[in-house]
Amino acid sequence: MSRLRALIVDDERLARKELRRLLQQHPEIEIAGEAATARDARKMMLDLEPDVLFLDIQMPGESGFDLLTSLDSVPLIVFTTAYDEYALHAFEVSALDYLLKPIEPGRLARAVERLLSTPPPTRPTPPISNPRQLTENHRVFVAEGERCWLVRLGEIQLFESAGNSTRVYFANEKPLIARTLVDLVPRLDERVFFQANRHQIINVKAIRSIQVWFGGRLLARLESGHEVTLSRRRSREFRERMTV
Amino acid sequence: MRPYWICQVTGWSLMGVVTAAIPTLYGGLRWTVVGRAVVGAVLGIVLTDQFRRHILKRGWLRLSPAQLVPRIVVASLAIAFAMMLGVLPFLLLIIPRDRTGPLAAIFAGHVAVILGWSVIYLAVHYLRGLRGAETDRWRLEVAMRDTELRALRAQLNPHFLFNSLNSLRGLVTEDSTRAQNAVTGLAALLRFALLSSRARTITLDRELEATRHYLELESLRLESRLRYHIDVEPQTLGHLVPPMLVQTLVENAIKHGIARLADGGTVRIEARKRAHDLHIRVTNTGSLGSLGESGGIGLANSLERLRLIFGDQAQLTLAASGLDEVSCDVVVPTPSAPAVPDGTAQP
Repeated sequence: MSRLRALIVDDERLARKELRRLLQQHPEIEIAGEAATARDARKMMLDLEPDVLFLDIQMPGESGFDLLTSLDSVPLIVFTTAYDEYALHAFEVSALDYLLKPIEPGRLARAVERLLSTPPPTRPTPPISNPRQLTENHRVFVAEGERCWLVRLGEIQLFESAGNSTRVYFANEKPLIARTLVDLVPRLDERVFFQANRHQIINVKAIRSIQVWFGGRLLARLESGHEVTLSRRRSREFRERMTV
Repeated sequence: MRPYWICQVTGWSLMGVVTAAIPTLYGGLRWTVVGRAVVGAVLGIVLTDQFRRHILKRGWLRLSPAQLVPRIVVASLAIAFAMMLGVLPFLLLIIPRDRTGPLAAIFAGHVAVILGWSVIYLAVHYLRGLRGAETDRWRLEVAMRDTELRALRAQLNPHFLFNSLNSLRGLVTEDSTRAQNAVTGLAALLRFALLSSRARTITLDRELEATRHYLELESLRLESRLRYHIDVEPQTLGHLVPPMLVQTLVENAIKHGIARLADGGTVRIEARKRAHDLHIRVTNTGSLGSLGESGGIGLANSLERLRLIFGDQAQLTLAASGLDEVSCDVVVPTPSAPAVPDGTAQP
């Protein structure tokens, strides 16, 4: 069984210590490090590349949510909180895993079990030519209103430009993420995500049918039901790619 | 004002019937008698209604009895005189000669009736005012209980409670003696919170004791990030304050100030006596901008409680007191009732 490398993020030393002690019962989890602030956590994540974060919500400066929103991709997450009505509500409506402090060993055991049985290969490997590239197995944290999601990029059918943000469509949801489409393009795996026009990026694996439109332009129908018209130039490139 | 008009019309109609009935018993039904009764009743309604408007407009209801009585008497004389003038043609016909005596008696009767009207009108107002005052007192009590409940809920702030328990769990293996002390401190604080929710005021001394327990528990969690000083003049210790007042201020200072700073900061509690007032100041590192909504509610609640107990002289202000410092200043006057010994509830 492969061990999961964990990073504990909590502003309270005793809380970190207690979680570390509790995790000693679970040799499948290897504690790679501890961070007291979101800023430290962000730095440590670059070096340690943890598989899982045990993440406190209320921290000085940036909250746990702020940390996740700022990350391009997120590992597995187990939220920890003492009592934060807002966060608890968010976890409930978003079906996210969380632990209440003081942590019950039984609850922790179940959370660890769930971590170990999480299906996708936990560490997506981007191509060596572009190490910052996100694969379809990378996950992003998306928050909107009181809800939040940890979405695998492969589940996203369509990215649509909305001013300085981008709307992402997946499983009947369409929240906004705080990045422009232009920022996203170089980060996404071009084998999976294809820029259809200036405003939209589609998931090639989610295309149900392609239709030829006026002037040789293509119309892609997605599994979600969205119809996306490819620009003339992009239609030509798409055909070239398909014939290769 | 419907009851007023019902009374007005019924009262004056009855008065008209009586003034018509008495002469009719003696001399039979005459149009002059009926006319005088009808005109008298109508004038009664109109003139007393004008009188009522005058009373309300001039604010006579707020006058002291010594100011009110002569005014009412003069007004009653004037109104009675006006009524006399109105019914005079009928009276002249009803009383053929030797009129002076009967007319004087009738005038006296009119004056009595108007005075009677005034007494009834003022009595109704007075009684209604009494009932209003009672309702006010009742409402105040409800508000009080409500703030007590909210204060209690704020005291047992679940975030603080569960975080403390979590720190304690971690501390048990690290420093069991300190963990034992912390459990005792937490118990003392919880007991204080539960008991004090029933007391209106307690001494500053007891309040500070609870605040110290609270600070020690928060230190457990925040460790070196929380530094605190308590600087209190000995003569302030007996002054009465609402329970959990200082604790709430300190909790705000930590929640919105210290806990938001990665490097932490300092909380300073000061108490001074100026004239008869107690001045409390809680200062913390931080900036006003970081004050969340709940902090506003917590402080608003504290001020509400202060005002309910000590009146409008009680003050609570929150302001930036330096570049990187926020102060909450509270003025607690000496309650007008004599001070009650340690911690007992005041009626």
